[in-house]
Amino acid sequence: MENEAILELIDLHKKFGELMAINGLLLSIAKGERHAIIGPNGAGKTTLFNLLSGLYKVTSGRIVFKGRDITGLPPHRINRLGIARSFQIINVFPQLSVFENVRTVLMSKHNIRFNFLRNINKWGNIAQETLAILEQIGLLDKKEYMAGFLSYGEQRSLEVGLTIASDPEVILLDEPTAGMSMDETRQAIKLIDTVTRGKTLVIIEHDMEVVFKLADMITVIHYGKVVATGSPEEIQEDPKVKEAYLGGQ
Amino acid sequence: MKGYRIWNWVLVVSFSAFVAFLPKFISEFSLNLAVMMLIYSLFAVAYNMLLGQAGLLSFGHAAHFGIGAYTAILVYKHFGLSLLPGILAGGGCSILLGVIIGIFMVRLRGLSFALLSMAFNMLIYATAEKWRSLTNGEDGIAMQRPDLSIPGFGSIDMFSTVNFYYFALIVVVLCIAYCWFFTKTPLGRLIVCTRENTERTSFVGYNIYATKLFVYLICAFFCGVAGALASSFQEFVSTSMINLDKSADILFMTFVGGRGIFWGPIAGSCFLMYINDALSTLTEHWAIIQGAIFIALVMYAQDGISGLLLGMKDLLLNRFRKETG
Repeated sequence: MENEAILELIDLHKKFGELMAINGLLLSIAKGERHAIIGPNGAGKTTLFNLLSGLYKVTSGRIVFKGRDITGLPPHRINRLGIARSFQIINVFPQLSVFENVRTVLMSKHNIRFNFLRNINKWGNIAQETLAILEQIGLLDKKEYMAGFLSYGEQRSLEVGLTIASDPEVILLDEPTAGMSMDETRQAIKLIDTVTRGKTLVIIEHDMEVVFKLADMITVIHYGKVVATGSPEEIQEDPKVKEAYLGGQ
Repeated sequence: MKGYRIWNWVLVVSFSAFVAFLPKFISEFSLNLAVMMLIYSLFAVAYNMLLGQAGLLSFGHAAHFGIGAYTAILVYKHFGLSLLPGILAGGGCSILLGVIIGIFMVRLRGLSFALLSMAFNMLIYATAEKWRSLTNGEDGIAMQRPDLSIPGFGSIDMFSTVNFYYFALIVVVLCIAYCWFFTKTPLGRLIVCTRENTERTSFVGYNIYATKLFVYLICAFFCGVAGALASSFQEFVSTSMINLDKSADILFMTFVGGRGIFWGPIAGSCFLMYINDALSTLTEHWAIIQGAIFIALVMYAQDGISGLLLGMKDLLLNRFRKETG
């Protein structure tokens, strides 16, 4: 099934001082695909997300989203175009209620970000959509809680909620199950599976169980380059992948 | 819970009656103090938009207060306009200044924001001091406050302190009411998000600089209005209204009152102005006592007076609940 590419990374480079963290990376992600990015520690996976989401400036190369060059755009512009990311370390609004955490994203989605003349509660649709998202991520009964008081697993769910609430076309999840117990991981997989249905998902993951359950494409990167791309079966058989993991240790 | 709500209303109504009939009970001298309390309450509430809600510590808001103060006096002097246009012009010029310095300020946060605000304040102070042809330097400009003329309604004499008290009361209440409403608007909620987690706010689609600039300008407007009210009331403006002491004063009032609670800055400005007044009649070393209070609060009560009061209220309520079962 050959779909059109929604996201293309063309000869991407990122240099930190003398270190080439991303070194001529070429990758094409098709629309609707669930694409896992794996690789040894320090391979450049999170750096890649930081480039994609606009946190870091690209040294050279291009990032193309739906045929449009988005290289060098600031994070908020990239988010509004339809690429949303989550973070490896929990990154929510700890002193605000769970409800308000999600509502913040919906304010952006509905373009009422700078309104200072109307009470936020007057937008009934925003409150409703917020509740719908909270139900999806299973935090409806905790909506009044301060986000910082949620358990680790719940904060992870909220992190996913903040990422999907704006209804993005491409969802970037950076190790969404990091630090979770086996049980929590299984629930997280189920959650990610439901909330990303029909969207393009790019996920960085160390846990192979998560990768094989969620992904229909896998890309292995090592030293900032793509080692191999293919279906889970192809990747398992690929001798270059084994070498990257074993040789990289 | 219902009884609790009734008590809140009783409190609001009695406080409103108190401020509404205040001129009947107190001397002209005390009424002067009351007017200044009103004005500084507005200044502190506006300043707390940045300090409390946006989490931005500014050492330079006397620049906005002062430019409002100068603008009002100059508008009366050179254009012969009445009170209300003078006050609005004060707010307007403060916004203009906010646009010019705001675009640099909002790129920073934390220590660099504080230092840059201080630097801008010093620059503007120096300008006010040296531009003698306009500002008359340290000697300042005296100008009698004009009448309040409302088109189609006539004009009200503002010479009496009582009349000005009511005028200031209406302006300050309207402005503070808006500041309260602001905390419920999308922008008001958003600025709290940027304080909580700036990075995440930009990754859910918000331009941080624009957000901070908008809030900076709204804050600047009300600080300018407060400054214009102050110079109109005192019928005089000089560099003492735009110097760093004034910036320290407002930070002090806001912090002492408590930046975490909306009405905290009001409590802080009224409390400090009252004790300064009371102490200065007793001793000339009142600043030492003021300093001691500040040190004690910074060390033991970061939430200021309002935090202490709320803590006491909770304590009393809990005791009450226990006794009544």
